[in-house]
Amino acid sequence: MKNLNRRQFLKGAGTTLALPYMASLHTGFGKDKSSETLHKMVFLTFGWGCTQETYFASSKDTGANYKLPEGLSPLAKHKKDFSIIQNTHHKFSTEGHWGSTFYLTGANRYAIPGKSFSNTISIDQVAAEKWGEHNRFSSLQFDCAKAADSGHGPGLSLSWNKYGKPLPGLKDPFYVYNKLFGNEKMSVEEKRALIKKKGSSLDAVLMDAKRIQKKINTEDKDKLEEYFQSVREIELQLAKEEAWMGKPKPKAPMKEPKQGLEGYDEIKIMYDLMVAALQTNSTRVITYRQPVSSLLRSMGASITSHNMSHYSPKGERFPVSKERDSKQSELLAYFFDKLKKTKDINGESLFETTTIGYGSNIRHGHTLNNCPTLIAGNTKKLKLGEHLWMPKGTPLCNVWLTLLKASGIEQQSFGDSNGLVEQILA
Amino acid sequence: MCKLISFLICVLISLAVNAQDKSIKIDEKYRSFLNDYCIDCHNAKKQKGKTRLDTEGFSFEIKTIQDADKWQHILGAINAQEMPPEDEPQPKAEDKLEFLEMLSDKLVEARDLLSDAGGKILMRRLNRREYTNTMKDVIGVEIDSSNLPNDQSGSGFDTDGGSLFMSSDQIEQYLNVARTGLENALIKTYEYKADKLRIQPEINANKLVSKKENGYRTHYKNAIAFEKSKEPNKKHKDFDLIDQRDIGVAKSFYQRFHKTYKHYLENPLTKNGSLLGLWHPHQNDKMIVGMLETKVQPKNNKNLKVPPKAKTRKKWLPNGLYKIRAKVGLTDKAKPERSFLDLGFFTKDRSFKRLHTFHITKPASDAQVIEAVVEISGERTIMFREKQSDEAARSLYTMSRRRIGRGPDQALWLDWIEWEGPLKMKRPEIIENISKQVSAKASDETIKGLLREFAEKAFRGDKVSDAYIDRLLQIYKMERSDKKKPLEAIIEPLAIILSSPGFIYVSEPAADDETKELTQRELAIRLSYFLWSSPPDTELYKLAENGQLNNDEVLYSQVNRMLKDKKSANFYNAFTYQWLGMERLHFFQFDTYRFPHFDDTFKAAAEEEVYQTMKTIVDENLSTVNLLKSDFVVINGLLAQHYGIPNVKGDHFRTVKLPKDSQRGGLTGMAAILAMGSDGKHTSPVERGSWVLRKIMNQPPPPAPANVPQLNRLEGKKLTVRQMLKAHQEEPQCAHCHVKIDPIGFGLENFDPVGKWRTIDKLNKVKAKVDPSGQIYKGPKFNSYLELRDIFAERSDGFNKGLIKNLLSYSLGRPVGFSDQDLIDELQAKMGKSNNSLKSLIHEIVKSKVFKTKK
Repeated sequence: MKNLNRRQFLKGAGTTLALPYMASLHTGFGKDKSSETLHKMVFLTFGWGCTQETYFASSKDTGANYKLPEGLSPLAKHKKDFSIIQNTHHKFSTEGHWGSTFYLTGANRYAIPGKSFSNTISIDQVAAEKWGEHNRFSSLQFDCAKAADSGHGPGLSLSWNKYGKPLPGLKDPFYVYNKLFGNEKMSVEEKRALIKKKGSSLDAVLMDAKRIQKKINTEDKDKLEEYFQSVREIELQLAKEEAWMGKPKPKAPMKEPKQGLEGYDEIKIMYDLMVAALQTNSTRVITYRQPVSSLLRSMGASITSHNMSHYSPKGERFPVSKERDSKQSELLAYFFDKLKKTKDINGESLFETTTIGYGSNIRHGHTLNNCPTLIAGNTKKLKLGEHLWMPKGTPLCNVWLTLLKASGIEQQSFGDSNGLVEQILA
Repeated sequence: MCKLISFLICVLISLAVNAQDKSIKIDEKYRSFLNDYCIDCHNAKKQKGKTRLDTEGFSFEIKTIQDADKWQHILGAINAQEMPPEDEPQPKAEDKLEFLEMLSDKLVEARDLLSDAGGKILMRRLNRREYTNTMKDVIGVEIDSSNLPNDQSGSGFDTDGGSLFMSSDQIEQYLNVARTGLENALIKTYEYKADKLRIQPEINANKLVSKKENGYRTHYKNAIAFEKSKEPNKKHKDFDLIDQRDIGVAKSFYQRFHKTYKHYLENPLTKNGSLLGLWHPHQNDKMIVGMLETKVQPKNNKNLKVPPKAKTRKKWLPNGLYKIRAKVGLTDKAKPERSFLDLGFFTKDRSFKRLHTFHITKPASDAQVIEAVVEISGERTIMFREKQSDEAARSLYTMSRRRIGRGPDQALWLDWIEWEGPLKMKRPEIIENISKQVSAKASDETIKGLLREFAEKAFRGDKVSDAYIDRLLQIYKMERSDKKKPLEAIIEPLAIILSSPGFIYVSEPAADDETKELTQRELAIRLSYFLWSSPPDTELYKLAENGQLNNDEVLYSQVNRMLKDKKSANFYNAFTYQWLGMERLHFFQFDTYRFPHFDDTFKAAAEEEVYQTMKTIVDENLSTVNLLKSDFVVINGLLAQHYGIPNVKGDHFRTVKLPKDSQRGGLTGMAAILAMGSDGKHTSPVERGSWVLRKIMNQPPPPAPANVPQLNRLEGKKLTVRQMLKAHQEEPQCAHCHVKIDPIGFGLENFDPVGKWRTIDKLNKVKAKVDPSGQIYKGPKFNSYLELRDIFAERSDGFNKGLIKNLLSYSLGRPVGFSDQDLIDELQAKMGKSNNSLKSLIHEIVKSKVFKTKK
């Protein structure tokens, strides 16, 4: 009843938000009853691009028999199970140092007159909105410490919600583990009381929000809207907790990570956590901004990641840049291996049911017009094992839109897309 | 009333005009560039790539975002060398250079125009700094806000409402932080008889060093004995060894550490004090150094009554302020750069969080007593160590071991440590009232009264509704029925207040399209967040209440009072840090072998120099030209040591006169600024040059363009900086920015990566004499850094314009853009009349109409 009151209040307060109908929450959790594939999506990115000379296949060497470039060679045994797509871009990304801010959105930063920054929904959130209500977490955003230092640009994670606002990311593997698998030592009664308490606290802050909302102008009301949104999202989370009450968190399929992992080990454990989250159906949508700076440190390199990205092919930074590519590919191969060995709650292979997009918004240096893009997984719907060279000017959003379609989400367009990449659909 | 209406109409009209009329015009003379190289394919008939660039089909006026995007597309295509196509006629290098330079500048202007919000000031959430300060002001204790987003990573200032978002879980975070803070304020802080305890650190230190010394020695002896033993069936465990690998460990440890421990114990100073080490004996190990632990226990805990014993060193105490003292001296081996002591505490992840640094100037025989007041909240392990970074300490240890077979000699000697507390701490009145009046016997009316008082204080004087208070009372009762004690039960309703929009947002009520004069209370709030990043104090509120703040003289003296107050440090630090982009100082670690003393403590001091210089210039009503060139520096002992300036001892910052022709004096001679222009290993003339263009000359280079092919012709060649400079100028798409950036960067090459003066540079192992000479783009030549600095000082008008823009933006909490040009000019003119004093600028901003209105 409390929830209903708040919902009515939000409507009454003239917000454009309608709280989603939550009854469906109570029906579908745990094992999915339908026989349909439980599609999942994962998007991974790193800053500062890759080594121009050794990471990219030649534009003339396309098709299924392309020679795997040196930087991708640790992925050799998975070659049939991923494709690389070249020559796509985000047409609105025009500054050499733009990081991952628009990687999954393709938005025009200057799209709104009178504002020097705006963004739009990211592709993963399109899927999260579709599927999320059935999972304990509608999506999970993984992130790294000091993301700007790793070339990621503004934002709190790779994900942006439907209002173009940044979604917070989880930086600490230890914390992620406990969020996924740590069971509170609380009885159902205690938990229910806690949820009730949280609910009435939100009621109280909303009363004050309403007081302020009456006095301020339209622009400020828009600003205050963010507060309402935040309340709404906590409400959703509470409703979810209520629905999930009495259902213990899944048993962790892995050990609790050590604290203070950095770089190589940190990325590896994040991959483990992703597999664990997908395997237990805790979520179906994950994004991850990977660290570059700490990866370099864990490789024993003493240069900064930005500095590395401005290597020259005969200089001392070149081998560092190459080794970094190769470490990243090695880690990705590890992730694929693990996905292949693991089954989802329907008993299907995780790799076969998870659509993976991997890459960077920068090609290398300051070059943004052909960003490295690798797609993998979802083997029934995607045609993989190829190197595609797209016509000049193909929006990266075409790839994202196609991945959505392959995951069973039909949408007219996404970002600046102007079509599908039919070639990757099986 | 009539007057007001006509004023409003004026504003509306001028707004409308602004929106329609302003545009960026590109000089028609550049038509010929398009006509010569583009129009053959991009004309009315043959619109290749759906692009028309002919006169009829393409406007040279940028009015909309779409127009700007079209031009951006052209800029991108030329920069990327996509256009004109290879097999078509190419423009001459100088024409291309001119076109690129013009267009990239015009696009920066266009973005500025199009993103101009017409002076709107949005309601804003308190940023993390302000939130932390405001919490402290309301509840009286430090809170830990490290889990909240830090808000300083956007492009503008962290006071800009437009870019202060509220993320989805933030309200929960606020609730959590508030609960913990209130628990500290109400339950873990209480009256407690002050106590005092002195510790002789050598008692434990010697015991533990001996134990380790003995351990390394015995382990090693056993390993050798095992190896020498001719017994055919010898077993490792008979020699106290684990396995074969353990032999290697024993030998390696003996070699690396034993001598250091032995040497430590041989030092006569360890008889009645403890020596602070670098890496070994462990500086981070509580065993060796002076260490204090305090733990906080909620009130009414029986354990509390246990009297303190010097032996245990652990003690259950309330939260509060504690005085920490220590007697410290230098050993005869202490070098000047190793005469600094850090006081800090261990964080949960076992790293060192520094609180204070002390310059130790006296020898051990005449040791000095240092003292600091530390706020304890929660469990704390306080410790001392020689100033260092963990990594640099290892490097120094390794270097020393290569040289003399053991770790470096210790530089600091600790005779004793003492703490005293909790000191009497003045709690905010409302917290005092709550902790006294909230009890099982308190009536609903009393509780409601307290909640209201607290909410109105938290909401900076805003009135709250009865319904809200009733709801909070209900929650209190719910908590009580949950078997919580009264003070525990009041925490939730108070935490709700501290997470409500009334607290979290600075709102200035207004109607749509209204330009409204701020109420006096709103003005007081704006002012105090500008100069203190904190809410107003009683005096400001009182003046506002009495309607005296619109008196210019009162306002003037209040600004002066506020600038003198300690809280103004919040302004100096936050504004300067963001204005000058000092985040970069923390992006990378400095090479610990080459610059072992450029650690976090030093970085903090170097930053402080910049803030203190700003403060001095304001306090002494000096011209801003002193930020470009001055005959003084504001430094402490640590910086003096770095700069090689004699006779400056101790930790406080003070003004020091410089000799004539000193390289110091002015931002570009400061360690923090110079170190930002490096990558921790080498200097980066490009970073430094573009920083100077942005901050000192106010001619920001356009953002690094995308897709410019990288110059690889000279790859791997061992070049001097000069030769590299030349390479940058080969291609127009590089040259149009680097011709401005590089000469300035090279003019600063006499400063090494940490800002020390040098005359020889060793880049890529090529030794070369530094040649700073160069020429400002389309400007004067210079032969040395000092001549370059003179040029900066002569061009202080540009610098001031940039400063005004930034200060205005910070103070108003909005981007300053196109529509502010007149205001900026006006402020600059006024500032010019007051000898370009920074203080007068602050006064003028506060006095200005925009500062007093909500739009």
